[in-house]
Amino acid sequence: MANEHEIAASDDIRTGQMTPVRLGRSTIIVTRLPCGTLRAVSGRCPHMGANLQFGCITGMAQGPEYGKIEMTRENEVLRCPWHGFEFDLRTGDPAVPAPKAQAMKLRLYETREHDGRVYVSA
Amino acid sequence: MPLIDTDVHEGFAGIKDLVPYIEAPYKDWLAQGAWRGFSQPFAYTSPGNGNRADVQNEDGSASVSNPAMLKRDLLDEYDVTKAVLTGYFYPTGLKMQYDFASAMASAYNDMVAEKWLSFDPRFAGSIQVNARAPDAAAREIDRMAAHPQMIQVMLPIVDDIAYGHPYYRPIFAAAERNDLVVAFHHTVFAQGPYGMGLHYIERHSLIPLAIQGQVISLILNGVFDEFEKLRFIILEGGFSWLPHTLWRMDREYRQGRVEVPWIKKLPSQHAHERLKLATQPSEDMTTDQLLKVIDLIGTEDLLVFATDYPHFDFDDPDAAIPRSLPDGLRQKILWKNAADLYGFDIPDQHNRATAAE
Repeated sequence: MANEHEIAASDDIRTGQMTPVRLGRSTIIVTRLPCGTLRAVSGRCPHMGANLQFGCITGMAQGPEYGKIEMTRENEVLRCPWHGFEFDLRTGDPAVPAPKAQAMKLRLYETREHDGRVYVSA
Repeated sequence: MPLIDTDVHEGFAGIKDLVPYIEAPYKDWLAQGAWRGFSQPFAYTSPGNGNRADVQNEDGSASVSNPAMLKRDLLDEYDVTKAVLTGYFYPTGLKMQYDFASAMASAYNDMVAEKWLSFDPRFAGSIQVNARAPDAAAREIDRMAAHPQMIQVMLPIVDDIAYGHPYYRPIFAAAERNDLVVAFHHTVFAQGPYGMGLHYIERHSLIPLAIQGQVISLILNGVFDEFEKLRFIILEGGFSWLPHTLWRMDREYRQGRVEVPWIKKLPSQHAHERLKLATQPSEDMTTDQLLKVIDLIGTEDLLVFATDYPHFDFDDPDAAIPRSLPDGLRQKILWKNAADLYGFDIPDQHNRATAAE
């Protein structure tokens, strides 16, 4: 059963920023989606285990036509520091479907805010 | 069983055969011998000088300019249901005088329509273009698409600007609006990454690499996305390299999609949905090896059969596509996949009649 951990002040978890939190032997990345929702994900990339705190939070690149790039959903995508794989922070799903041989989804952790403090269940 | 041959090389005895079909001022150019036609920058080493040695016109010329002979040696000999004529005279090879090259493409198409397509309803045609003049090529596609036996646009493998470049988009747009397939075939000017090598055997071994470069260019420059209805066929470029190329492009797409977000699907998905590869020249695989390659490609619907008649590396259908393959898969390769690609209506009655063979 997951234990709830108090990990930070609410004001310290900001949109577009990653806050790595050490819980036991694992690191969890905590951020805030633009809608205000907290998001806590595993700190290792499901592809090859890269430390995601060295990655970046960005948007989803869209290409309405050849040669035209539009950034959408700013601060809702996490890119791995190694291969640049993109993960949707709303769902944990990869932006590109995973190959059959690999599970490629970020693990999401339950979060809660209370009295200006952030709690993660892990 | 029906048989669809997706790569049959019709030809002419010489460039002057185009004189009756080409417009002024180029009619005089060809009639006066101002240009002698393409010449490959290497010597053939097979007994028939590039062709099967048993295939010769009555005048001894090597290229196949006689429809009756082709009918006898291929259509009748192998009971071919449909034979897709692909030519081997590609005006795109002319790197200058674009109007002349475009005029030759038109003339060649008219010659094929008059001399070949009318000869036997089993023949289907490829529209030749000068790809270096994309707008003229598009007009030629619009013109020739009216012929009911013209089923595809032929793009010869070039050695400079690959076909994913936006420069060529008018050609793909014309093919799509006319509901034509786009075919790619190597040329005497196709090159590997370091040229043609020093020997014919190198040049011939490098052809799949030239083809891979075109597939990568087409998919990763968004041609499959921009032209959502277009379907593509690669002729005489091998197929056992495809699993690697698809895995590699898929991996690159996962890590580098942000650079090319107009690509909406995994490259492998694009290929599985709308790309076919012809099996010739087969690589003498065992049945088990061929099944493994097809499994790695990821679909049974991608390979189509070709003989490459009359060229020296001809594939006999019975030898190249092992009879020990599962019957359903063998039928897909020998005719069903090509029938699906081209929309050939192969009569069910014929299928039933041959099912007991």
